[in-house]
Amino acid sequence: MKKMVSMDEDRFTRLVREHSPAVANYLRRRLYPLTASDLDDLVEETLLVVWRRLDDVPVDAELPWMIGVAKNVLRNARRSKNRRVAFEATLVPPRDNPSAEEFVIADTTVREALSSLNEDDREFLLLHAWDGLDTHELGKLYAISTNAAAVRLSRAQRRFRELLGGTENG
Amino acid sequence: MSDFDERLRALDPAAGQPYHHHDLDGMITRITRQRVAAPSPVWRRFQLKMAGALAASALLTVGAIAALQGAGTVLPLLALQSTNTGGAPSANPQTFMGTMQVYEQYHFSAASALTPTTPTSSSYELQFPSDQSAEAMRVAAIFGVTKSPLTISGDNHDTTITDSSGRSLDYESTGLPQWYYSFTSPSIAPATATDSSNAQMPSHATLEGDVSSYLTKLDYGYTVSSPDFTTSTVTNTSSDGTTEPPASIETVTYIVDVAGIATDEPVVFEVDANNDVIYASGPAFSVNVTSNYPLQSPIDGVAALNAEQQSRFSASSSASSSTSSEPPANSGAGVTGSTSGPPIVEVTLSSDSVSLQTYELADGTSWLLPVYHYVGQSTNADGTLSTSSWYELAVDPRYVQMSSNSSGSGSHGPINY
Repeated sequence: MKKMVSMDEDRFTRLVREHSPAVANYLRRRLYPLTASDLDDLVEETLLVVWRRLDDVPVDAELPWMIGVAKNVLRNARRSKNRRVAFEATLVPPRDNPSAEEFVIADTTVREALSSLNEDDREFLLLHAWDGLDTHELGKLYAISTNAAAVRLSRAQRRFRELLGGTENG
Repeated sequence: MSDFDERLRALDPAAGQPYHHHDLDGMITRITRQRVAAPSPVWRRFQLKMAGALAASALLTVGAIAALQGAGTVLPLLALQSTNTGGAPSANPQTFMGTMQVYEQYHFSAASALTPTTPTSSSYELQFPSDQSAEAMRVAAIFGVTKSPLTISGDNHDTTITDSSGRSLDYESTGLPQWYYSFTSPSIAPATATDSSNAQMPSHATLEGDVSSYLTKLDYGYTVSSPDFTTSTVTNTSSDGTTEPPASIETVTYIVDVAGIATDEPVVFEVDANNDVIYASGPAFSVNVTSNYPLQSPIDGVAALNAEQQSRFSASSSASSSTSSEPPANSGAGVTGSTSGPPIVEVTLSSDSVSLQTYELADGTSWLLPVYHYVGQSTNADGTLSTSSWYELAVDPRYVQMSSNSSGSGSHGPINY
């Protein structure tokens, strides 16, 4: 039992060291504004779940699995924030909640193109372009085949290029 | 790599910002020390938190507890999955519920206006739809997401149904389930600007009637109150890049009530000038069990707020004394400096009310538990005054067991894993 616990801890430690930066970047690309301490909190929330479900983490898809957990952590964080803002509306005037794209993307053309995509396409596009997931990893994250993920990514990229008003290069 | 891909990658918000956790080894140690044990039925029904002051009290016996409650039913311990008491100060109300920026330490005191008597308020175990896909289809039908062909996608936590007219229903089952309806692409954000257009919008009474009709059909059993109406303008961009004429929308946000007590859940509806619903969202739950857990007094709740502050800062100061980058305190009225800790802000809590907030227990059940909503005035470092809100669990602490979340990271809402 002691040896198994040690192996679990070793694996968890490796997962944290290898993938926590990618998990953190996934979170902070999608939730603004975010202080360093808030980001650390969300990362720790995610890793706590990873530790509890360590046996479920697939050996061949560790990062997409962890990003899947972060996705749900993010969902709850957004929901808590929105609930709090709505609940305190009578005390504090509601303010705009800019998305990450509105907050940091100075290229307005790209921002408008991204905002015109549907949510699924946008997430697929950014998971590939910003979070670096390939089609195999996208398939693992969405529980679809690699081919299906490739088709969805291709469709999202095509729609994005159409919205930008150009044709594909290269 | 295509030009578009390069252009997109060049705009990565995280580019050039490598992530460094302030105490990675410490975090790994904290996490791996936690062992989640499956609760046994005996533990769940009869274990009591043995506060030292109660050690010799007759209240330790099951029979005495039953006599105290008068109903003949022993209330099981509320083992909260995370410290989501919401006790973190909300001087900046836009911070997450429970997330605390470790920058100032708050000392709370109770003004004489705080309610001296303990109110009564029940606690509610919630029930959620058991079949995510079926519930998504049911709600989709209510909102008219029915025009073939339907596109259905999702995973174990999320189902999205879109019809050929562009109507969409998204149902999320993580934590407390939520439904989201929209008539336009979900990527088009709700209105963000105050409108000065002359569009004749549906009356508030009309909108309230719409909402009432939908809630009756949804049949979750909760009620709503405290409608907050806003009129605003949204400008959409077509797929060909042209900007459409601005459209006026009317939004109403309600607070979900259970037994007349406000919860932390909103219901939102938006309609256009034609009174077509273009966005709606809300929770999907009903009440399963009502329990009458005794409450602590509002005064005792203030003491609990202070105790949490002390526990957070005593834990964080030992863990982060070598990494803290907070500047020394600026002294001002009501703010005292500390050479070794964060500045201390004195807060006088002058009013309290009871509301219900969502909690998840270690056994996976979700509850609406009564919390005290305190309003108080604090003096900032520059001498200005701020009025803010704080929340503290109102259930008698003898009936509550917190999970061993010693990270001090606060709460981000229930996470159902």
